[in-house]
Amino acid sequence: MKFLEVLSPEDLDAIHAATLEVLGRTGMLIQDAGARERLEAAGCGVRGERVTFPADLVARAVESSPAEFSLCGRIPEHDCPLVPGRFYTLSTTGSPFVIDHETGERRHALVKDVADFTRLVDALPNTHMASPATPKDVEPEIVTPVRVATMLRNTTKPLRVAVESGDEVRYSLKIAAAVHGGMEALVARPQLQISVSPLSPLTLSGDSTRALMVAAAAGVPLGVIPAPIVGATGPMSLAGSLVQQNAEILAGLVLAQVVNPGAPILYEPRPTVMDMRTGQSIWGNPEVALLSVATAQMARYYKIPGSVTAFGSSARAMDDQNGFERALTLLPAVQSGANVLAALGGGDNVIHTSAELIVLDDEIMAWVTRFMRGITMDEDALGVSAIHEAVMGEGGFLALDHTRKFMRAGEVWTPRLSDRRNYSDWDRDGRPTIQQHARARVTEILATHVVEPLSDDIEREIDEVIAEARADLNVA
Amino acid sequence: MDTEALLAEIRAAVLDGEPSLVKSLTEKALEAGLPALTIVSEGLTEGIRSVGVEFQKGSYFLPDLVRGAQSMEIGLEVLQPLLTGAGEEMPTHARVVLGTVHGDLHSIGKNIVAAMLKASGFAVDDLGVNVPVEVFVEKVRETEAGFLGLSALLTTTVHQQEAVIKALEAAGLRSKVKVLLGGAPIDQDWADRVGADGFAPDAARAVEVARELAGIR
Repeated sequence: MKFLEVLSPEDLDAIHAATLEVLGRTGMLIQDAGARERLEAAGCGVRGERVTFPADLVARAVESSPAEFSLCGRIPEHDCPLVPGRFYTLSTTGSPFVIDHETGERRHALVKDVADFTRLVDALPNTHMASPATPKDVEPEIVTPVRVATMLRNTTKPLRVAVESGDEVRYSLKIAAAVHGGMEALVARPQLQISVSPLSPLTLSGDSTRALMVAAAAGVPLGVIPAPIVGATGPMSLAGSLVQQNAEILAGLVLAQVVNPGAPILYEPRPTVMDMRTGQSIWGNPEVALLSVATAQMARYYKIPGSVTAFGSSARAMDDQNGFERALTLLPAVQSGANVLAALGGGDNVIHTSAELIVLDDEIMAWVTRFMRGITMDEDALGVSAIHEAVMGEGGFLALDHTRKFMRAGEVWTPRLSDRRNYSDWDRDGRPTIQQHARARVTEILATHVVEPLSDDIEREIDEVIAEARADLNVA
Repeated sequence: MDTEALLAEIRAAVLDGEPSLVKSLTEKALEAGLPALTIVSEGLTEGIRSVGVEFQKGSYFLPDLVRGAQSMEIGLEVLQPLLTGAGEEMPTHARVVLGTVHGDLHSIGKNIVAAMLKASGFAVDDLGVNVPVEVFVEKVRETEAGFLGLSALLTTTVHQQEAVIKALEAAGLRSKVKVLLGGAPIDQDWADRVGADGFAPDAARAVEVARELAGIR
C-alpha cells in the first residue's frame, strides 16, 4: 500500500530549507554550558545561551543517525524493528489522571495504575509498546525510575519513558540494565526508549539537555519530542509549526550525534492545536491528523524512524465524540508510514488514561491493521473457480473449501469488542454499550493475565537501585 | 476632534487590539486636555470590557483577548506617571501576582490567565516562569496583592505550589492573600490538600474563581 502524503517533495524541501534558516538565524536556547561548549566545538555559533546551527553540521548529524533500529522486548517475540512499512502502537505517556476502572470516576494516577495499564499492554495483541501515566503516590524526584521498574515488572514488551532530567535517565537505565544483565546487553537489545522534550519555542532546558546527553551517550534509542501548541507555542500556520518542531528535533539530533555519532534517534514530535476559546491543547482534530502525516513524511525525508500522534481525542467520556475523533486521527496516521503510533489509551487530550480506552484502542487497531493488509491479489483470490463451483454446484459459497481457506487466513476480520448480534439478542442482554464490553475485557485480562516474572535476584537489584536513587536525590 | 469622539476611538482601538493606535490616541487625548483618569475609565477600561463581552459571546478568541489586553496596557503605560503623580488610584478590582513555579518553564497557560484577568479588570503582576519561592513571597509583600496565582505544568514541579504556600505562612502573609492554583496536573483535590484558596481548570474559570473570591458579581 502506498503511504498517505499531504506534502509534495517540493513542500518537504521548503520545510527543510526554512528549518535551516531558523536554526541558522534564531537558533535554540540551550541552557547547559557543557552542551553549548560541545556544540561550539562542533561548529555551532554560540551567543549567551543561544546556539545557531550551520547547515553542513545538520546534514552530517542527519547522515550519522541510523535509518533503522529496533525497540526490543525482554523476549524477541516482542521486538519492534522500526523499518519502513512496519508500525507499532505505544500507550499514552504522562497522564496525571486515570478513569478508575471500578468507579468510572476520574482520579489521580497511582503506581498501581501504571502496573495495571502495563499488564494490559502486555496482554493485548495489537498494542506493542508501553509508556506510563504519572503516578501521584511516589515522590516526583524518583517517579521515573519507579515507573520504569513497574513497567519492567509488568511486561516483556518494549517500554518508552519521557524524562525531565539526567538523573532520571541514569537511574532508569540502571534499572533496565539490571533486567538485561548489564548496560552492554541493554544497548544491544534496548527494551527502554528515552524521550526528551525541547520546550517550544526553540528551548532546551538545562535538565532536558542533560537528559538528552546521558541517553545519547548510553546509546539507547532516543526520541526528541517537541510539543508545540499551534497558535500558542508555535506559529498558527501548520507549515510554520512543522518548521519549528523540525528545528527543535534537528537541534536535539545534532547534540545527540555530537555526543555519540550513530546514536539511534526517533523523530517524535507531538504537535497539538490550541483551542482559541478555552486555551486547551487539542489532540483529536483534523490539524493534528494532518500534522501526523506531515511528521511521518519529514521523518522519511531524513531517513530516521518516525513517531506520531495517532489516538487523539478531546472527549472525557467513551462517547461518539471519542469514537470518531480517535478513529479519524488514527487512520491517516497509520497510512502515513510512521513507525510508532502514539497515545493509545489516552482521553481528554491525554490528560487521562483509562483501561477501557486501552482495550478499545487495541480493538480499533485490529480493525486498522486489517485495513492496512489491503486486498490479496492472486489467482485463487480472484476466485474464478470458486465462483463457477458455487454457482454450478450445491451449497453455494458457504460450503466451499475456498471460503474456509480464506476465512482461516483472516480475509475477514472478526472483532473482539464490537457487538454484531441481532437486535433481540442485544436487547435481551440489557443493551450493552462498547464501554461495557471494554470494561468486561479489562476485568478479564487483569484477573487472568500473568506476566513472565523477573528473577528474585533481578527484583532485589531493582529495589537496590531505587533505594540508591532515593538516597542520592534526597528523597525521604 | 471632540473629547467624546476621541474616547470612542480609544475604546474601538482596544476592542480591535491595535496597541500602537491606542498609544497615539492616548497621547492625543492627553494633549486635548482629557484627565488621565477619564481616559482610563471611559476609554481603556471600557474598551477592554467590550473585549471581555465579545469573548463571552463567542465572537472573540484568545488571540483577540491577548491583543486587547496589550492595547489597554500600552495606554496605561502612557498614563501611569500622571496617575501616580496625582495620587490617583488605578480603578481595578484587585491586584493579582502570578507566575510559573520554580523549575518549570511553561508560560502559555499563565499568559492566558493573565490576559483574561486583565480583560476582566484585574491589575496583574506577571513574574514570568521559573519563579523562586522567595520572589513570589516578596512580590506579595511589596504589592499587597489580593491574589497570588501559581502555575505548574510538570508533575515534578507541582510541589513548588505547596512550598510557596508554606513560605507565605512563615512570612505571616498567608491570611492576606488568596492563593489560586493552575496547571494540567492540578485539581480541586490537590488545591485542598496543599491549602490553596482556589483552583481553576482553565483561564475562564480562573477569572470566575477570582471574581467569586473578590466578592464581585
